[in-house]
Amino acid sequence: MTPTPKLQASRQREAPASAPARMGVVQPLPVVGDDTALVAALRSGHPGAAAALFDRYGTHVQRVLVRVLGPDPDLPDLLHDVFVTCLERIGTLRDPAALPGWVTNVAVFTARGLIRRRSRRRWLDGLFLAWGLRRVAVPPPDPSVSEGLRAAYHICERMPAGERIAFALRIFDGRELTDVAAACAISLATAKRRIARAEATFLAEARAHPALRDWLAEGTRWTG
Amino acid sequence: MDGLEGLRDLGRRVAEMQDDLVGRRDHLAAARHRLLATTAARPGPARRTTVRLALIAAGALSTAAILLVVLRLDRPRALTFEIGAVGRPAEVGRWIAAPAEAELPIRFSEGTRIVLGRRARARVTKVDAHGAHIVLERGEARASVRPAAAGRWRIGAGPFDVLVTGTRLKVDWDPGEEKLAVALAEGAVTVSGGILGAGRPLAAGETLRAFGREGYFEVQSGLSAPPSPEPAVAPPPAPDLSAHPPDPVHGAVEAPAWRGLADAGRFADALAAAERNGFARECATRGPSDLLALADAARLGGNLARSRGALSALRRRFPGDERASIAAFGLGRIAFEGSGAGGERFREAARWFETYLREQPAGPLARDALGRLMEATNRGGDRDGARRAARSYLDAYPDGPHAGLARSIASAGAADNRREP
Repeated sequence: MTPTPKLQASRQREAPASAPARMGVVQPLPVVGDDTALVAALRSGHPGAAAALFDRYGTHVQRVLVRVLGPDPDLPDLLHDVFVTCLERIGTLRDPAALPGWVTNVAVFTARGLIRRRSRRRWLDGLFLAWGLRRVAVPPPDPSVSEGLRAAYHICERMPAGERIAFALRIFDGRELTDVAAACAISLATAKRRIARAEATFLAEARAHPALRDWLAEGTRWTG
Repeated sequence: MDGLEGLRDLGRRVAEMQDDLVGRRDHLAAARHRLLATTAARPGPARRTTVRLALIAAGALSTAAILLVVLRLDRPRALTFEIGAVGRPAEVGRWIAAPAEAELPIRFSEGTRIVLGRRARARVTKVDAHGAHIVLERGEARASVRPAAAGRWRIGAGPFDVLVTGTRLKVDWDPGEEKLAVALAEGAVTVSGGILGAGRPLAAGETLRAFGREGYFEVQSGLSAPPSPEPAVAPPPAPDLSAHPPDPVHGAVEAPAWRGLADAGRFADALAAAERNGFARECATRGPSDLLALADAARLGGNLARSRGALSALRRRFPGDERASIAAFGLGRIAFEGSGAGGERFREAARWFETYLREQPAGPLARDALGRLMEATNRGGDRDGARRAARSYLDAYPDGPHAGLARSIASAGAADNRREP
């Protein structure tokens, strides 16, 4: 007997045999194909497209965020936010083949937003401290983060957001100047200018810092 | 090596350290889980696009002043929270301690409730419009989280992270034994970090127990209510609060003013602020976290003697605390970088790094401590000690940042052995 359409639909919704019965998880078919296919799947609301986007670019986005922000407790939230933004704005991507660069832009702009918010908050906190209006409570330093790493990002935190991001992508992520310009959505000339200023600032402060001085002067010290 | 060349080397080292840190704290699985939960609760892209176009069309017909008012009213506000039965307003970052004789509730403005068990210690480290991060330093916390599609609640306990999306659960953390128990009554969570690695989802009715020292975890299911986790061995004795000033007094403690200055990178100003309060008094009254931060600020502000003082006070006042071991590492670093005569400062540094390794053989600074021990013993003239440290380092961390130095010390030792008759 041929199953009725209702019965077929009900069978399609049964959980796979390998999954625990009480979980009732329906596994969508994975998205296969290049970025053009992935973008099409995202725009059409394919149930597996969000997972495919994350699986394809999650590591890359995490690396961009870590390079720009350093060891940051907000990293898991930012990772989530970048992909939520990508899913919301996928309709604005004109060329699907440009997906990798576009995702990088979203990651960079998400990081920049956080940097600017924190900068405003620090400025306000500084005012309150100066006026004795409020004591700022801060978490203890994370012992698993080396002092050199902390010191490097302390210096970066005091740079303007645009310089900090371009510097981090160039020096910490080792990108070419053209890649830095593309990631930040700025001209090559602007990227060069920002990086040059940031390098000068960083070198001047790092040379005066005990944790970083050795790293600069003896770059191969730990490798013997 | 010129400045830019040194900068590029520094950049590579920074990247290597970051990759190592990120590898130890796998956030990808937790972020993926949350993303898929979020997208499952949201309308599809076609419907969102239609809604967005309709709003844009409506907005285009309004005046700019009306739009501004609508946007301002629509801006989400961060949650607030209160502590205790009487509901004392509290700030992010404050240390929260439940007394020995009673539980301590923390109530958030949207309805979520966290109850700390007796003697439990916690801190709310972040709050925004969608949730909060709570760090459970010790003991039990029962959470009743109000469900929300965009909810972001996280409970950290040691190396573990419990990502919560609208649930009732109980978390119990014993930092001394490195044991975590998460019992879930409703909803879903993902527990990640430490031996759990990428993350382990839990369903309602399941209890996860992770044994960090032993290196395994287990999940039991079919329990109708969050049970109390049964320790396999007797729990460590509760600290005698009368023996030394406690880090948290019943309720919250204000962070000292110099902490904000230190966090802003103004180390000299932070140290000056601590001096104005009385440096000895700060060392005698502040808890372990504050003492570590004070030592950092003093060292980075150029006063190694004050840094040594804060670290020594920490070790003297809190001998069993993990942060006392971090203080040992810090004392080793000060000795190494100091200006004492000849080999003595390196020998002192080596003693402190050995102390750290003895107290925290698997601690977060163990690799650094072993590498620095190797270098300190080498510079202090203890060739045999340096070779032993080098071999230990290469066994444990063959690709670590000190591996090159370890290999050169070990091979120099081998050459010496071949030359001997």
